[in-house]
Amino acid sequence: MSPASSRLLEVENLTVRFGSADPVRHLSFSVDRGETVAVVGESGSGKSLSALALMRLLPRNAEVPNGRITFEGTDLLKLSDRDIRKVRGREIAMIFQEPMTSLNPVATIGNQIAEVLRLHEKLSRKEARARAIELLNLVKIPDAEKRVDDFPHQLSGGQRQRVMIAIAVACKPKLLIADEPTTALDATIQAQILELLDELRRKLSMGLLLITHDLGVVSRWSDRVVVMYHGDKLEELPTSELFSPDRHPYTRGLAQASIRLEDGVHYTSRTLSEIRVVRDADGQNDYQIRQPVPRDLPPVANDDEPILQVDGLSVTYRTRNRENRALDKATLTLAKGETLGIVGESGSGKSTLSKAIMRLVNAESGSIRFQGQDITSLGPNQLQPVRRDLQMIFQDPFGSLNPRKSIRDILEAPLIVHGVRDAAERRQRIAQTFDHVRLPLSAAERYPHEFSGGQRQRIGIARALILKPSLVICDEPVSALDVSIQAQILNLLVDLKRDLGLSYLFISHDLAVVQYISDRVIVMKDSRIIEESDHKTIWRQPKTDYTRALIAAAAGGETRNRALAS
Amino acid sequence: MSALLRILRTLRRTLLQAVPTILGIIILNFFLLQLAPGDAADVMAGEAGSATVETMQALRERFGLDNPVLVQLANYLGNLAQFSLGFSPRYGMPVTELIGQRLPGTLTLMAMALAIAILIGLTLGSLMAAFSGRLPDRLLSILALLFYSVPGFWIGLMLIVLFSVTLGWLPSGGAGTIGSSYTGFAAIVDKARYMVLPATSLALFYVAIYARLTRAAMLEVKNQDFVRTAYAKGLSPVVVTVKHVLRNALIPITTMAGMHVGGMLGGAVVVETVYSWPGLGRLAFEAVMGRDYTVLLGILLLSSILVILANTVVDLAQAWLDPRIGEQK
Amino acid sequence: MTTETAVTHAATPIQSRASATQAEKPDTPQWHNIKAPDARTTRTASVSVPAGRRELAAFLRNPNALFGLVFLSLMVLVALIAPIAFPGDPLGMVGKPFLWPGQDAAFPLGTDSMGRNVLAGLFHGARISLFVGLTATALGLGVGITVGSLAGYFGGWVDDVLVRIIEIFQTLPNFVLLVVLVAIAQPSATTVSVAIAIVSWPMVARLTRAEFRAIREKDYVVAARSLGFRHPRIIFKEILPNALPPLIVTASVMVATAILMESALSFMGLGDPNVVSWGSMIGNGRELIRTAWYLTFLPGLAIVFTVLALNLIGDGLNDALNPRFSEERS
Repeated sequence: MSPASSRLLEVENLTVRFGSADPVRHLSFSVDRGETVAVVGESGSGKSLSALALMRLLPRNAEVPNGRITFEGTDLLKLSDRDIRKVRGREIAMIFQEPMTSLNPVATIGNQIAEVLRLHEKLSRKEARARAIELLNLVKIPDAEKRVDDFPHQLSGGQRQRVMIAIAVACKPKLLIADEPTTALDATIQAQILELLDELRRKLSMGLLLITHDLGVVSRWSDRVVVMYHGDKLEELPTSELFSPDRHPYTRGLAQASIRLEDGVHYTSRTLSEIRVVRDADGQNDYQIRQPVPRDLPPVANDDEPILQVDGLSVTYRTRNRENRALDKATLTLAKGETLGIVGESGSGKSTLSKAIMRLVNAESGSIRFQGQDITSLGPNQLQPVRRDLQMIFQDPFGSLNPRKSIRDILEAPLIVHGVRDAAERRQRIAQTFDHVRLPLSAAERYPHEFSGGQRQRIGIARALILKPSLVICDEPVSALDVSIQAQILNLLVDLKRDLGLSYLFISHDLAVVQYISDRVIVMKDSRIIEESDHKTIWRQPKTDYTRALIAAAAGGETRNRALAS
Repeated sequence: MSALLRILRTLRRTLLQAVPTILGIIILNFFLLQLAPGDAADVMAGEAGSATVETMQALRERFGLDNPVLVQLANYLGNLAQFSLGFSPRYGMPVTELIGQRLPGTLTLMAMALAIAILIGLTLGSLMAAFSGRLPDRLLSILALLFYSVPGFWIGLMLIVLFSVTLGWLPSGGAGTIGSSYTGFAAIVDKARYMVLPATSLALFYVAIYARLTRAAMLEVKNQDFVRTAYAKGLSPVVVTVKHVLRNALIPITTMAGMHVGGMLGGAVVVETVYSWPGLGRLAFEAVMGRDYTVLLGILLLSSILVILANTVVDLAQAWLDPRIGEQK
Repeated sequence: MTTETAVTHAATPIQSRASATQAEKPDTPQWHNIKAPDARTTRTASVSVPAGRRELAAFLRNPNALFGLVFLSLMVLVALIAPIAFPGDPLGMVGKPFLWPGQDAAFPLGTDSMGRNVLAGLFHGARISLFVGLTATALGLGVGITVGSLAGYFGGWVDDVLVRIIEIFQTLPNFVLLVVLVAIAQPSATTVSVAIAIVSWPMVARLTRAEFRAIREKDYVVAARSLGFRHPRIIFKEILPNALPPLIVTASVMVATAILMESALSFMGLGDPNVVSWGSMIGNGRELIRTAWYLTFLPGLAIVFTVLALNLIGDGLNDALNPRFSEERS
């Protein structure tokens, strides 16, 4: 325990209430000066609400029935509205998840930074502007003198997050709350932003409260961790012990379910642990970790004709006055039974590639051969039988299911379209597919909104499988899911591959996931394929600088000097 | 990019886009004119009282009415290029001139009504958003809905009953005291007295629209992330509302204000007939009664151009308000 | 010209981003800014139950909407029984002229300058108002939805052409165009309905187009395409049902607007001359406003309440179908 004088923030017994529900219950933790504390949890854990509660920024319909938030000796919950405003932005600052929407679109970034300086430090317009430029330099925005008059839409996502940080540190706050500060950003940018936050923490000796779902971020950038599940704090521990075996079962499960690049696990050798939380008779949560037994997989048949052959495929999007080459001469092959991983950051062209193969966008040049047939320019009628064999799983489990159709309708429509006339056969096929994706048949009559994200993703997979395809394109299938759900879906995909003899084209921005699930990996950047290799070689001996940078970002880059903290 | 550049670029784009629209409207106008029962010759003959088949034929030849439709369209376009909308035998003057006489009256009325509507609408809408869900919001919402449901001509008549007939405070029609020789301030007061009732009748519906729109836009913006950022800076609710919410909410409100100029012109037609206000609307009414289609379609064309002008102004205002517009992507 | 988002705003200032209404799910945080995974479940937890039962319940719980519904039903009833309750021509002279309401028990709402029964006029006027309102709306919706969905779904040159046409019709001032059309076509209940439909379809078309463009990009539509669904199936089964909520709201507002337009036309003497309409009653009473103001006042009230009822229904539908802001009201 640190001496009392170094205590910056002490949260005791904090409860947040919405109507009859308490999404945060009896939360206690503390942050010392200059320390980084991470609050980690999955969807619905209450971590973001807790952060908002600290700043008294909860929505109007929320209340805090009990608890104390002592910041430098004052209980923030007891301050008047006027006094808490003096704390916000000056003593405690906050940055949010969505850099794209967190800045006012009609004000220049300079004015948005200056605003907080003029408010708290009573600077003149001119002084505030000068300080704004200094701050932009501090957060490493190049050309700060010029960019100070830019509007947010002229900046990239990473730059906007830097501006948010500049606003937050403008008045040298004692505590900075960062709520999922990098979740919306690409991996390489993520690492830079986190490094910047850490550097500023040291420079300005701020306490940093890091809210995140990402155990990788936690393990690299924090001193202590608070683990939350469903509104309850499960445990608090030093970050160094995060992966030690005698932790709370949920923490352990979370750690085992998250795939880390450096562990080098592969689907052929190990299944992922799944967390089960069961509510027992007296309302207590019982946490179990289940690791499915790995089963043998048939070897990839490399000698056969490849199932998919893409050659020099280019796609250009044209709008009235602009051309955008979204895919440039992509060439790849995929053997039967193989999983080909495609890694790239946003805008790298990986989604365009999948859409072009699915014939959802037209190729400008190049060819696509699928099961020996050139499908590059087939008309809708000839394409119909091909579609049966070529299916897709989508990223967003909330947007990929028609909200107005029952699950049965969603699964039955493809069968009807593809000429399965016999209703009994359709029923049987649906039941079989439910079985494959481990959903109870009772789910059929319900509607998408009644399901959780993971269940919806299973339904999306069921829809892709109902026509018995041979190749499934998975476009970021686990990116929108929590770690524990991600593990379940990845295990399921592996099982399905074995049971149904599928081939996958697996697209993701997450290197660790791609490393786990792929036999071979392709790296994309700026609409091009820049590197291709088998799943081991690409991580051990990357050929391009870009791949090296990606790996470095995912594996932690320069790991932070922990000696300072301890 | 500077705001001026943005505005200029928007102006160019807007004007370019307006060209096909205007052309389409002109052609539509021409064909509507063709569809109208009777042609100019009939009308003139009707005005003259008697006409033989021969004189009718001569008239048609003189005005090119016996030409094929496409030639007539070309003539129509040619005339338009010289700002000629044809001749109204009924009024004995060119339609352009006739409309030119009446236009200022309508524009003044509309400007007044628009000012009332925006001023009161914005205020009511902001109040409703500030008290959203609470009693003031509910009462104002119902009031707005009531305004939204009242026909302008009826409320016009009711206002006359109340303020002119019963109370005798304001004149019941016309645009100024006939034969008066007011000057300076007195003249303005006199004009205003005649304008209060028609402008109010016309504005009421739009007060409701702007109030409801402002409420929705403010609530929408209030829920956005950057507003939370503003609160996290320590700004007070008033500053957040004025500096962050209102500025952003004005963008959709401006668009709507522009979109309703056309509607307001239509409203003016009815209100002007109620108050015998000498404007385009009254002219339209008289033209309908006299089946003077040249005048009627001239008004339609001109009012469409008015709408396009209004839209241009709105687009420019938007480019000024919103830095994302007019950007070269 | 004016941007397209604005049009969406016009008809549905409130778009259908899902969230639970307070009454049903008191346990969900309602701060929409929370975009973290925490919030995703709550934000999407209640995308309309397809059977519409929840929407119906929400609608019926709304006292304003209920009042609107009751009043409108009453008006429909009035329109239906008008020929039975007041047989004979409502334009015929039946009593002494200028009887004030209450003066003669036989004419509870009095008689006009020609000795016509005002109450009979109001009853028969309901018929024409509702007929024009419903017919014009049905026609306008039909054309607007067709054009809008074609433009929004196919995009490309189809969209370019259709948007131009929509633009032209939206630029022409509605009421002025309406007057021109009716003047040219000669007024009758049918031509008035068709003319109102002609001036009102562009709004529907724009709204439908915007909805279609947004929904077209959703993953479930992409999925439908990748499954080999044909265009009609995608349009009618995947997109249209999801585009309907704002259109339903618009429909009720359109009926209200059509009734207002019809009454204004009739007031100006451009209505069907053979039937009695609320607007024409006001038009006839207008010269007598100094002596017999009840002749303009009563039919006006009928218009106001009918239109108000429709707008209340529209608001109620909006709150029920797009429950985004309803929490702020309840």
